[in-house]
Amino acid sequence: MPSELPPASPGRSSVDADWRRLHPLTLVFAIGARLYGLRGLVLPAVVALVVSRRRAPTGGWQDFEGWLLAPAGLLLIFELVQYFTLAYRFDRHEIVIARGLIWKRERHIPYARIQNIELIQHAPHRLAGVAVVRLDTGTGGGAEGELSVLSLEAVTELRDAVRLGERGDIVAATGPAVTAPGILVALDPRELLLHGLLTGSGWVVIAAAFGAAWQLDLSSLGFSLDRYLPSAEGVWGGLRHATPFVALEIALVVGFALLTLRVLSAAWSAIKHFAFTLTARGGELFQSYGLVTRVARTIPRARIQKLTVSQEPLMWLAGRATVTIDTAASVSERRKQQASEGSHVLVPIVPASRVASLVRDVYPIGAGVAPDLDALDWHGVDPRAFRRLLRVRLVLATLIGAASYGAAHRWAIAIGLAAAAALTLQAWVAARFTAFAWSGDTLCFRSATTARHVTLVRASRAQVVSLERSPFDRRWGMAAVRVDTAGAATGGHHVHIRWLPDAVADTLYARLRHAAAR
Amino acid sequence: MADLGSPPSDAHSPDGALVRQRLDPRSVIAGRLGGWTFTGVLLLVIGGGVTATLIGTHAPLIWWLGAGVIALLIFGGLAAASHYGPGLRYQTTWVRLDDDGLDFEHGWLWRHQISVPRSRIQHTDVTQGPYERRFGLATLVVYTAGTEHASIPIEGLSHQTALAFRDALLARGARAGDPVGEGDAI
Repeated sequence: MPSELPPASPGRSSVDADWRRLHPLTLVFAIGARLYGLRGLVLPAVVALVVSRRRAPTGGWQDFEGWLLAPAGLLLIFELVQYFTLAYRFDRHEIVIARGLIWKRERHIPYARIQNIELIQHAPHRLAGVAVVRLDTGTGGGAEGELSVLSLEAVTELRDAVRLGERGDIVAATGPAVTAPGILVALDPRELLLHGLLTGSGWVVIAAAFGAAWQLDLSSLGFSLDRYLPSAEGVWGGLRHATPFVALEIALVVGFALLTLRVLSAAWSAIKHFAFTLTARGGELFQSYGLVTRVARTIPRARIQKLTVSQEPLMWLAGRATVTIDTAASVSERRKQQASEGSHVLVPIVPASRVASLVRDVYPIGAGVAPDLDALDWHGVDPRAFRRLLRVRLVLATLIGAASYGAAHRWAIAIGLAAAAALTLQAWVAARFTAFAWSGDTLCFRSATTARHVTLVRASRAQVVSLERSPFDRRWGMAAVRVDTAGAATGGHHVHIRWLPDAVADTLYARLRHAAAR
Repeated sequence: MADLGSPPSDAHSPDGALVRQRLDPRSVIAGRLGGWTFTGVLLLVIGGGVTATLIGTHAPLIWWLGAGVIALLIFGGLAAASHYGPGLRYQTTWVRLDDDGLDFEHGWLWRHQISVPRSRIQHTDVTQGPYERRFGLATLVVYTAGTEHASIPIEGLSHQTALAFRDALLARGARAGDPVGEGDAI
């Protein structure tokens, strides 16, 4: 949807020293948000009030209900004060946000420090034509400047100010040399449905459904769940007594549940990422998507700390990949939102063949040669890595077999063998696929468990480089190299290159150290 | 301890670099004192509590013996760690500052070598606890925008060395970057 791009508005300098106020609807949204935040308190109060009125029209505590207006009035006054005391201004190098009546606070955010600008429009915002804007500077404490709510014109003005301010040519902003925007990725509903189908992770929902069914006691509805659940004799006892018919039933129920979840996941993805576009303009990437809640995000390319290309097994089979990025600001954001919110997804689904060109397109301008993912010179790990991994995993498999003896008796050997086979395969994939490569100033690292990941870090974005040797590493003459970046999300794919031969690790460490310091 | 002489001189090389050096030898004794104090306080609190309980409940002799053995294991372990830990730390820790930034080696079983480029340092702290003040030591904490290594504490430097490292680290800190922020730390 290219029409949603913020217009570049050349010729008009939006930078002056006038104070601006938020949109007048701010009051409505602020009070709405506060009531929503207090819904646990407000709803029961309202219900109690209504119920008590019905029971006894007079003579109860509802005679004093007029007092309830006191907090409401206070809230209104508070929000009014907030509204009339908050103002912002575009200075030459910074945006100034002033607020407070008694304790005045004036926050100065230099344009050059703004990591990303995020625009969020929930359904009511879209109806009213306003948006919440978050300015992140990456201090880890959340959005430093949140302007809620602004009219869309004010948002455009803000974006222009930040863009011009970042380049430092505000004075000469007669005709900013904004390159024509180029759409990098536009996803049609088909791709989005595919994304949902391939990535749907329904296990949490299944577990929740089973839990709920257990609580509800479905047997009263003539449906006995006990057949599917561990009996009093334990899981194994229950399964031993299971007839093939029950097994088929379980398979059908689970299969049906999985299918439903995948379909739901597909629908969810299509709604959430509706009309997804990723556009490049100058030094910025512009992301816009969403049917109900519309998100528009501006990410300066130079602020990308780390880029990861991931392929879950199904995605890999379908020849698709997901591209995620870390910005320094995204950690605090993600802590607030649900992990599934995926505020750091750059492109949810892209054909694997297009990944290399996409990586080139999002690479910062003027930061050297962009890496070519299709022509990397991968350096694998130590050839003995597989043997080392296998040794540990065979011990683990033996332990698993031994531990299952108590429950599974003669099947324990089969379980142990199956575990050994799975772990051997896993060790082989890990040892074979883990590798690193240099491309210009970018370190590329790939690894695989079930999903494959390739992560790119520019040396100028490496915060800390470390070389690690565990006692086992020392015994095998191996070492690990780790690169720490800003905004790295928990559970993300981090650069931790293990099982390197000693000499290779030392060289890589020295080279990274040197490249990072330049 | 005869070897607890004067702190090593901060051998400055011309361009603000500091040569690879150990911690201050006095950090061993200061570390031990800290460890022993911790063990002592713990012994007093937990040991006192357990003894009072045993007396109050008229526990049989076997309980006293059991508690004694457990206490010996726990506090013996703590005391040993307090006694030998600082020495091991002294033996295995090295700090250096060169053109590429700070290089910090530490760890006995798990060896770590950590490098922080100067321009990535957001800010630094020099802190001194009571024992550190007594022995003229300090802890240098280097903060980065990183996630795992958001702060890197270097304990057991002489106060003078910690200050020298701090000044040298910040002297040529963030270089003036271009407007899009290429030269910034993040």
